[in-house]
Amino acid sequence: MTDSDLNLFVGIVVNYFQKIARQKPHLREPVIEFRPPSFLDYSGFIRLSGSNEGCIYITMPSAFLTEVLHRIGEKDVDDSLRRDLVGEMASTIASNAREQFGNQLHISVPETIQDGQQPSFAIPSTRFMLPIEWNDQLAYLGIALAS
Amino acid sequence: MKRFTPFTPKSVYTRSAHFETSAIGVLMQPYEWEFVLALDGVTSAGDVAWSIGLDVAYLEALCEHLHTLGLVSLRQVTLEEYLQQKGSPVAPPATEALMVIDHTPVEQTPAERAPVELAPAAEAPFTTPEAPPLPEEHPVFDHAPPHGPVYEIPSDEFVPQPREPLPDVFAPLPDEYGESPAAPLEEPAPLSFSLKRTVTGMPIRPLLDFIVQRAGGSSVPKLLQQLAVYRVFRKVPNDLVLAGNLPSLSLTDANFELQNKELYDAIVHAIEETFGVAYSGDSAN
Repeated sequence: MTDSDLNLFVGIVVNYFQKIARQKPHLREPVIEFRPPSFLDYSGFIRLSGSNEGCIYITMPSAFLTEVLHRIGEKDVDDSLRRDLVGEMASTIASNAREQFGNQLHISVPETIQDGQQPSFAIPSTRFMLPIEWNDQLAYLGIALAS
Repeated sequence: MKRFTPFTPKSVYTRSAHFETSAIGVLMQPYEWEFVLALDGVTSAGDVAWSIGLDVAYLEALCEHLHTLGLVSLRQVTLEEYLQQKGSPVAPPATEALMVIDHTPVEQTPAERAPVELAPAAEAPFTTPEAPPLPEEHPVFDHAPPHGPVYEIPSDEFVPQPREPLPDVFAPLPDEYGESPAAPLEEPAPLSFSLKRTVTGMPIRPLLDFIVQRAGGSSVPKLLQQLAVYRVFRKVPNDLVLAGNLPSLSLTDANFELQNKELYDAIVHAIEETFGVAYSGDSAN
């Protein structure tokens, strides 16, 4: 997978925010993390296999999701709605990526976790973490590929 | 003197003096409170985050938020405090020695004016202790950065110079009501000092510059440059990176030096494997 391929995932997430929240997010300076991952309140993952093994994920605080849900007209926001939304984000990333990469990359169905849970699979420790700032809130897009 | 200090994971924060009142009514995540309460004014924000399992990637935003709420403040220390923390009570010698001469006239008692009788020199012969034998060869790194190893000193920089005459410390003291027989003192030159950068490791910046150059240089969007760096670093064994005390890498402020030769070599190897070229520190410039 090339750098441009990875950049496609970033584009998908930015477009998603622009479409659903009607406001383009601001991408802050990325960091390469080497330590075992930890996650914010809600996270959505898609696993990649085939030419590259690993996962793409988005992790965000509860307030971020609440704000997005308010923006799209939800008034009674609860845990299940937040979890649905982070799952929908991961699902959107997955379906767009399938369109882009076709058969060369196998992309799993999304998996979501919340509040201290861990994903069902191991995540490569070396990750590219891109902070996504929207409406004074920060979410993170994580790209974790095996060597 | 106050100045703007950019955030780095090495920044040290302390809870503000009005922490308890500032914290009233503030809503935060439990792990954010855990972080604030773990701050001790000595441990860096990165280390505190590490100790509670919080990614450094989240730190800048968190610290900014806490600072805005007035819950924490950045701890600044003087040179003296820094040296005390490091366990060294005195500063290392300056690169240029400064001599401070106290020109205040000193009143002396008649006893003090009397000539001092020197004790006879000791009879025992003076011997010079022998230095331990030097190693036959200096270790030289395979992929040494442009600066080269620090202990290789160009010999022409250390030509012995003739010694300057010592100041005449036994000049007569000035008369209490008259002028000093010594030459009038010149206006002292403004004090200045220079800090020479001590290269103790292998700078990471040339490696990153090389990667960016191979990825297309400045003509390529910044995000693609950063993804290229990630493409290289994910080939570097993770345990080696952590053993080299590199928990995370922010590409903008990566101006530090790697202390671990094995890690440096692994990064060079990853670069060469990724781009299929031999790494040369010079070619990035």
